[in-house]
Amino acid sequence: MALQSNLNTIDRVLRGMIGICVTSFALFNGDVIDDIFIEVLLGIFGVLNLISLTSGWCPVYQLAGISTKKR
Amino acid sequence: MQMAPLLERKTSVRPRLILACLTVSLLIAAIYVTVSYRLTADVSLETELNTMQRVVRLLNNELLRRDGSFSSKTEAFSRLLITPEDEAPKVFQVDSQANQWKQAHLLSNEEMDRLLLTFENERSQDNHLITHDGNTYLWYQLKSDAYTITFIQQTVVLDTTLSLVAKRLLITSIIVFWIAVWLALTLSSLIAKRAEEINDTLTELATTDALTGLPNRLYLTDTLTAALCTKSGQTAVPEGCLFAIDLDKFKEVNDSFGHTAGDELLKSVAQRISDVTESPHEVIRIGGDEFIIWAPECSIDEGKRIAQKVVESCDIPILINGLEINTGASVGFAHFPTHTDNSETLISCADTAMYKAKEQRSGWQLYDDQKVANHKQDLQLRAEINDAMLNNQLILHFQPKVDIQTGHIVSVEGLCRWQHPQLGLLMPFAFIELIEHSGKVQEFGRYIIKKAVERVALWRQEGIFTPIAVNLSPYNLLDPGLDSYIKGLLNDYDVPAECIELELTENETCLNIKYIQGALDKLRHLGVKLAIDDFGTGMSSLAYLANLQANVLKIDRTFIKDIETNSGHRAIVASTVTLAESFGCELVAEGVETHSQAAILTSMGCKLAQGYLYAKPMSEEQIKTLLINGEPLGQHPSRQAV
Repeated sequence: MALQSNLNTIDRVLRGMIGICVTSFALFNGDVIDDIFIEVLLGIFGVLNLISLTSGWCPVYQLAGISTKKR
Repeated sequence: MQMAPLLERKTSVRPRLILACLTVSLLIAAIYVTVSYRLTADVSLETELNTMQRVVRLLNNELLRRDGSFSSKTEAFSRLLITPEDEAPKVFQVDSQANQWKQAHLLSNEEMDRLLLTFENERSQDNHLITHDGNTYLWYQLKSDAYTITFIQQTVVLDTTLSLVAKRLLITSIIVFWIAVWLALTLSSLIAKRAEEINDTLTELATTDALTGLPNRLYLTDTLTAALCTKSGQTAVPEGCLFAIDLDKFKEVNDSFGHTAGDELLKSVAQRISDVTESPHEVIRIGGDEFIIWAPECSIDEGKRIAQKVVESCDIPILINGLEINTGASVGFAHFPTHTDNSETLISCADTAMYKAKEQRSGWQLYDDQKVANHKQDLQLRAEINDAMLNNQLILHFQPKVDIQTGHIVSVEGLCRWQHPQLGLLMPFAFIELIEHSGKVQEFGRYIIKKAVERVALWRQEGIFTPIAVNLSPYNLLDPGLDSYIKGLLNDYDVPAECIELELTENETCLNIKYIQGALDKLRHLGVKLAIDDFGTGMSSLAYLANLQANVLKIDRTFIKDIETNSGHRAIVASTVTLAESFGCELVAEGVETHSQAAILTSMGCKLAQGYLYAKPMSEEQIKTLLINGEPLGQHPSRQAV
């Protein structure tokens, strides 16, 4: 499955922002969460969004066969 | 694949699915968060109460063991019950019959007394919770024989636990909701994509011809409707040409080589036509061997070039079953908006041009502009034919048949005219063809015969005994009740049968003699005179003449027109005279215009004539004047002077 870009700019930037927020929250929340399981979950979601930001590719979109990128 | 407007697409499935998924996920999240939170609260409360119960029992046991000497051991009790690290404010109160002992942790004495007062006022047996100064307290009371022990504690531990649980539940809910959003997106797009695919397939099936893969008639209708629809005074396409293509020998190929070969041929032809068609022009197969090219934004000049290209491409032989087959194509095209601005008329214009091209074997034809006006008028007339018959707008004009020698009128031919309220007097060529194609031909035949019989009856009352001839199309002879109808008319109006003459216009639409033979026999038995009109042209054959046993032969005007100069025509007329004599029928020369023609005819032995030399067709009033006056017609001026 080739990593073909399937996100448009707005989608990408939005995901990037969410990704940065969620990842930093997962890493630096201090005692707010106190549960490693939830922290890991949040981390995974954050990182997925960061991947979307850097590559412009979303695995879920790929699975669903949709794209927000204008052709 | 282009959209087919007829097949409406359901596009709302996707947003609905997403909405449904999100609602369900929100609902589930809300339910499980609430249940988890309440469960945690209940369990924590229970645990806390258990702990308090144990502490109170411990205190009770200690008091019993030490037998009421608790006041002196306050310090020890305090250490036993309360640790300094404990964050929860709490109060102990022990009552015996004689004494009371109170101990508070993180609360002043005044606060303690107020709390105890609140406890006395507010406690209920249902739960172990009271509210004081905005804080929630848990209480437990043990009543033994000797003591009543009350333990009140602020729910700090419970609150901490619940806030921790709530926090985690909230974050988990967000994550779950997030997953649900993805799920909704994925599911909905999968389903929407599938629906789209099905839609596309259905649209394609509905608008594509299975054999050639070209779009079909439905597609053409849609495309044309979309292209020619008018929006705020402007059509979607400013101009365009529509080509109708028909293979010349498709039927022969189908008949001789079978339908498989025919299909092959169609596929190859479709391919060829597609090859010479450039986008955005589209090739459409509308059925059988008929193709249409819709060329938007194409001028007439460009159209001619395209038509030529199509004809040339179809002229190249196609190899089928190892045989080279050359099936030419005829192309007709019409231009929008020059010829029409209506999609249906555009197709029929192109068809008309195509049939003309086929007739003339000219390859391609542009629709004839001249016919546009006529076509519109035709449509109007076609609609009005019924009314015309009902309102007696179809009338007879009369042209005399004259004895060449004497110039006396022997009979008259009734010629149909349409006295149209708006268009004036219409000649038969303007409407006879319409009637023949309108399915009213038999009705019209009866109408004309009735008019003639009426005239004869009327004239007879006025003392005019001239017979009237009317023209009948061979289609009228297919009318099974025609003979009884005529018989009825003759009886009703009391007209002798020999006063009516039926002229059979025999042209190329002439039906097989076998079919009409029976009808003719019946008419002859009635005593009605039968004439063959326009003899010598069209399909008339000698066999026809023999079978028909006509009373009158009317030799066509083409032979008379140049009888002075054309020796061939003279010979034909001479032999027709002989033929008529042999069959024992009268001969009438049509279209006699000059005295010299009349002289030649007389010399050949032709006795009767009709034409402008004698009289043009005229109204009933005029012919009646002529008939009553009884003056000889068409006499040579020199002879008249005598």
